[in-house]
Amino acid sequence: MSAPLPEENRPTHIWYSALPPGTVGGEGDAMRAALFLHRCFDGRAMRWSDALVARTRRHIGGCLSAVEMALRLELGVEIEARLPDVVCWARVQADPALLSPILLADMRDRAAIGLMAQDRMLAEAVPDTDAPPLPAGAADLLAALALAQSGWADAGPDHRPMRADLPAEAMPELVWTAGALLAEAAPASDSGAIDSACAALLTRHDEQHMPFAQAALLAHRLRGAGENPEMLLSLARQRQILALFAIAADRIGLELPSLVRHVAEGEEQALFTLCRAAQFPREVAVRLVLGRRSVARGVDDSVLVEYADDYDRMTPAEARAAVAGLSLSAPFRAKLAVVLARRHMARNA
Amino acid sequence: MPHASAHVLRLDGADHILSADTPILLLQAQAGGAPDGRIAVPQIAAVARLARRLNILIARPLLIGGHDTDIRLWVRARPVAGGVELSFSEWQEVPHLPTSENAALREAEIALAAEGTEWRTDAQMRFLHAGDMLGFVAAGDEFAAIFPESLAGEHPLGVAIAAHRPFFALEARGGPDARPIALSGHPLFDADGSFLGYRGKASIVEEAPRATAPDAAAPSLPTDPALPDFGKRLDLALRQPLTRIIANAETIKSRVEGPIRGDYAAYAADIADAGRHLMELVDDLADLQAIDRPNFTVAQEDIDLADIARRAAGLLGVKAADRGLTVEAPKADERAPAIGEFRRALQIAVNLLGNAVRYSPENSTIWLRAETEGGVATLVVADQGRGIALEDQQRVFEKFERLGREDVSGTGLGLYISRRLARAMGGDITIDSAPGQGARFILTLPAGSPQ
Repeated sequence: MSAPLPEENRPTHIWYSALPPGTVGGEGDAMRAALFLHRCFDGRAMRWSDALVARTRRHIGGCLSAVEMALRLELGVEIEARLPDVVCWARVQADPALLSPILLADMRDRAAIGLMAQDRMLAEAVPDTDAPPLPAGAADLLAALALAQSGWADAGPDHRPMRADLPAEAMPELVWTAGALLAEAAPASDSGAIDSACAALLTRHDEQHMPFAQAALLAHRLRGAGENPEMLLSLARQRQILALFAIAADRIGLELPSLVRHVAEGEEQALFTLCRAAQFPREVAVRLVLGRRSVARGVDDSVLVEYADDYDRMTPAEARAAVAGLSLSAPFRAKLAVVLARRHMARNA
Repeated sequence: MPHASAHVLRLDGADHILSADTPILLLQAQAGGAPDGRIAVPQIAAVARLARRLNILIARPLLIGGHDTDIRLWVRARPVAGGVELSFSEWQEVPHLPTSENAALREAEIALAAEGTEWRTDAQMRFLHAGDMLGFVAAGDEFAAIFPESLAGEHPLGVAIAAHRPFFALEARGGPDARPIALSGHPLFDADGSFLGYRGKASIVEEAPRATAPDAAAPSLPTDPALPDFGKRLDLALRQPLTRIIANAETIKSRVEGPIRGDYAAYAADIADAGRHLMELVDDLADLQAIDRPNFTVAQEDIDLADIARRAAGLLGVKAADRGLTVEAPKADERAPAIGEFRRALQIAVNLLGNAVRYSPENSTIWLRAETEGGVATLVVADQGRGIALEDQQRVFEKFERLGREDVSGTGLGLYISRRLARAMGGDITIDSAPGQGARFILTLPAGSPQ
């Protein structure tokens, strides 16, 4: 484990994280790209784990292959016979820039949740016999989320299809990209059919059956039924990462994808703060932070212990104030990020 | 009201309502939209637009902000030929968090701002509604896009919003002509403590030439035709600095920024109280200058004195509770139609009730009664204070008259201004009191038409 980052590198992190690449514009985009590269390749404390990089690639390859397979089925045997065996994943491996930074970040976030869900540190070996009864309508959603997380934790070959259960904003790019790659490899006369196949695929995509939406719906229902600390602890023991993140997002007033992005891109202390703002029990927060260690290299264990000790000293109101910026809209945060960064640069000039 | 079943809304390609179930139409009406017009609830419009743009089914939670209660629900938006079909389920009504004393006072200050138009945003700082003065703002507009200049400079507005802090009279430039606008706002939270957005007031800042700035400290203010905008200049010169002083002192007193010594917090409380007193004086002086003007007029609007009494009780509820006072306002279904200017009538009601709160013994009751009968609408504010002797009853309406009571706050101008305002609206204020028997201040206005 390496030492924590110097203090001067910390103040503005809350504005950069959870922002999809491409929303800042101009020099902000360059800044985000630099941060992304830094996290991938720099050897400092916040570097993403090799497991996350490999698992992100697995998600890209798996989802792309699943969409390609669905398109081939939609096109029918006659057109399918004119296509090469494997098109999309091979082409994207040769030219990864075909996918936008936003879609890549979506894949990275799914991969991070998959890693956290399978992390041994998160769950206890003993069965959770004291789990409180779930409110009506929650059990089915939890089962669906467990299934989705197990799919996201799949460590098979990159090209093996993986269910493309993406949010509505990300799915069109994946489908249209796959369609364009197939059209490039097919005779020009097949382009119309591929276009129609893409549209048909998108028409059948129901976001309500996708894990992020299901988790948000679960949080919505649990709020109405009144969650309790025992239930949160039980969810942590069952490795229900998405459910816990959705409850936190609901309590803090964040959109779930923003919170997940902040967890993947932020620091361990930020995850503690998010948990405190959501008034999670300390044990749940510690389990989540330990689970996140498979996603990114963190601070020394001694520092982590200090963070955990500070957890109860931080009031929920203080934590809420610290994460308040995240509940603002992406354009607003982007603007603030630019303002604060420019002030920081001016001071250091 | 938990709604188990789904309610359906169908929109055409331009977001006009083709059909809608009743609860959706109620939301549409609350947002100021017509039943067959374009959908006026910005959150619903945003989901419909996203579904249409991506041509894909959207399913996600939605938060629709209301005045006292927000609605959280689940929406499915499916693009169909020529439009979007939306279904809403899992409804939950979430009441706003009861405001703390400080927050309530700040809210009252914002509500009582002499001028300005109301605005409200959601948690993502998108406008839910904005009054006439912000005519260039449409529901759904990004706050950051409307007031970009304040965010690019050193202005504290963006930082205050990011930290969910209240702000007072902070200037930003916005609108097509980038005019300076003073913005005040306070954050809203639901009962779980979740951030719901901001509610506030906005007013246009007049950029007066520096050379003609008034001597605002002068206690007597003769009407001077050379200073027709004195009130606005007074606002520029005094009210805005004072709001900052009060807000900062309140922040220090509340220890929002961190722990401080108890005596320092007490000093800050004194500063806030003194600032608030000065603010009252500034407001009264500006009103005095306005009503002494020969061409002073008031609007003739259909108003409801019972509603005004309830609003006044709401605004001063915290102050009354601090002194253990019970304020009995008219019931929600009571009405007392009158003709007058809403803002001025509310100002009078707040003044009368404020006096009652100030002079009533602790743990006593104040009654607000409103009725319309025989062509006259009446609002009675009755307290259990020590009362006013007959020989003093006309003196209390004179400028700076406080009947020798120097131990309480107040400028001594409120009743003078209130009676002038009441008479300008065709009514009056009278007193019915005797020493030891409390006081009844009676506001009368011409009756309005019962609707």
